[in-house]
Formats: sequence, C-alpha cells, structure tokens
Amino acid sequence: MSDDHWEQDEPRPETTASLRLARGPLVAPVLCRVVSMVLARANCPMDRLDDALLLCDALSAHAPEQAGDGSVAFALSTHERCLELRVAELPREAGARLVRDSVVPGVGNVLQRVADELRIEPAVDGEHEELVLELRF
Amino acid sequence: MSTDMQLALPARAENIAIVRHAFGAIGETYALDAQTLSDIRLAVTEACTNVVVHAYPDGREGPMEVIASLLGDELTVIVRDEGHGVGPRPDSPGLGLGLPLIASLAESVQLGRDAEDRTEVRMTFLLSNGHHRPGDALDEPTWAELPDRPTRLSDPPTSL
Repeated sequence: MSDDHWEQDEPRPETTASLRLARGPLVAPVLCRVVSMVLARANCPMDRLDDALLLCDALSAHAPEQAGDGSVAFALSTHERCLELRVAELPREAGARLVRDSVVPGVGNVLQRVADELRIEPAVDGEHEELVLELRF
Repeated sequence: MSTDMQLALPARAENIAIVRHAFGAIGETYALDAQTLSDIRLAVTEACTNVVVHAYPDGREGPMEVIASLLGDELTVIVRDEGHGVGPRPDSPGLGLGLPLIASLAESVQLGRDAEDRTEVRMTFLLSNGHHRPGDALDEPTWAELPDRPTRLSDPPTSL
C-alpha cells in the first residue's frame, strides 16, 4: 500500500528510534518532538499523545540526574497500537529512583498513573538497567 | 567533540520528518533565527534523503544516524549510514542536487568514512547571525578522500 493511502484507523508500520541527549536543555524538547512524531505516524489518538507527552516531561525532568554519564539514552518503538519507551543505560537502582522522583504533589506518580505498564529490566550488558514504559492507544 | 543529540532511525523516507522535528526543537531551544534553522533543516534533510535513496540498494533496510554537536557558535551535524555510501550512480533517481545544495547551505561539508567504515556526511553551520550569510557563496567545501568512490561537486548532477 502506498504511503498516501493509509486508512485513518489503520496502524502504520512499526517505528523504532534510539535517541541520546546530553544532559541539558535539549532533553525535553527533543524527546517530546521525537515521541510526538513517532506517535503521529502510528495514528495515536490525541488524548494518548497528550499522555505520552506527560511521560516525556516527567522523564526529561528526572532521567538526566539518574543517568550514569553526561547523557541520557532513550529507545522508542511502536507496535500494535502501543508505544514502548525505554530509558536505557541507567545505573543499577536508578530506574526505581526515577520512578520515585516522578511524584507530583496532588497528582501522584505521573509515570505510574499514565503508563499502561511500567517495569525495570536488566540491560543486555548486565551492568545497567532500563526503565520500560508502555502506552497503549 | 561532545555530542548533544544522537538520533538513530531506520533509513525510511517517513523518518526524515522525525529528524527535521528534532532539529526544530534544537532551533527553538537555542533561539536560532528562522533562516539559519531553515538552512540547517534543509541541509540535513538532503543528507538524510541521500541515505534513504542511495545507502541501501535492493530494498534492504539499514540505519540512519544523525548526530548534532554544538560548540560555541558552531553546530556540527553528522549524517551516517552503514550502507553503500554516496558516490556516482548512473541509475540515480534524483537530480543530483543534494550535495551541492548542502555545500551551499553549510559552512563546510566533508564526506568520508568513520573508524567503523560507516559513510558519513559531516556539515558545520555557524549559528551567529554575524557570521552566517544564508545564500552567500561559502568557502569551497573540503572533501575527505573516498578511496573507491571519489565524489566531487563538479561531477555531473546525475551522478548523485
């Protein structure tokens, strides 16, 4: 099927992206833009796109301070109406700290409230861990 | 050189829009003037298009990596692939304007291969308004040696 003929409710092909950003002012704007574009291509509805940006804002605010070196790594993929967003290369225990830090007074834990699934997985290298968030739409 | 942004995506046409948006975010963050940002995005788009069209022939899919590094008033952008690279191609579907366009938009352009033998286009842009003159004839780009695929701006347009 050509790119011009996707039905509105038909999911687009899977997209995968890896993104590494230096700690600093670029983390939030670039992460939000990239996630927005990936979800737009996946025909994500607006309300869930908005939710995804809440996740991005929370991660942008707290992931850099948990990252092991001077940068924070993300991996994104969409499949079957689901966004999987990974905060990669975190030092051990940093995933749990990142979740704990994402509490907004009066709102609660943004990551836990917005994501459909949240888990911490060991990285392939055995030294790091990854915080995995899934957002279904 | 420290990396401010490193974005890797499958080399597919639709993913070029994601790269453009990422540079839009960089432009907003650093309050780049509209013309400078437009030049950067256009040059990066052309480099990414070269990857999509030329790097992986025969329909196979491969990665496209874009790296941005800011140092002072200079932005360096590297567009990298693990495929065929940029070179004369008699069956090229394009007009061959991509690299000349990049060369006119950027302060300098280098083609080459990195230590892992990946093809890369390295562009630098001056971000200060006092230095950047959009549309001006800029210094002749420097070309790294591509031993088996010499590519020059003077090649016929159909070769790219």
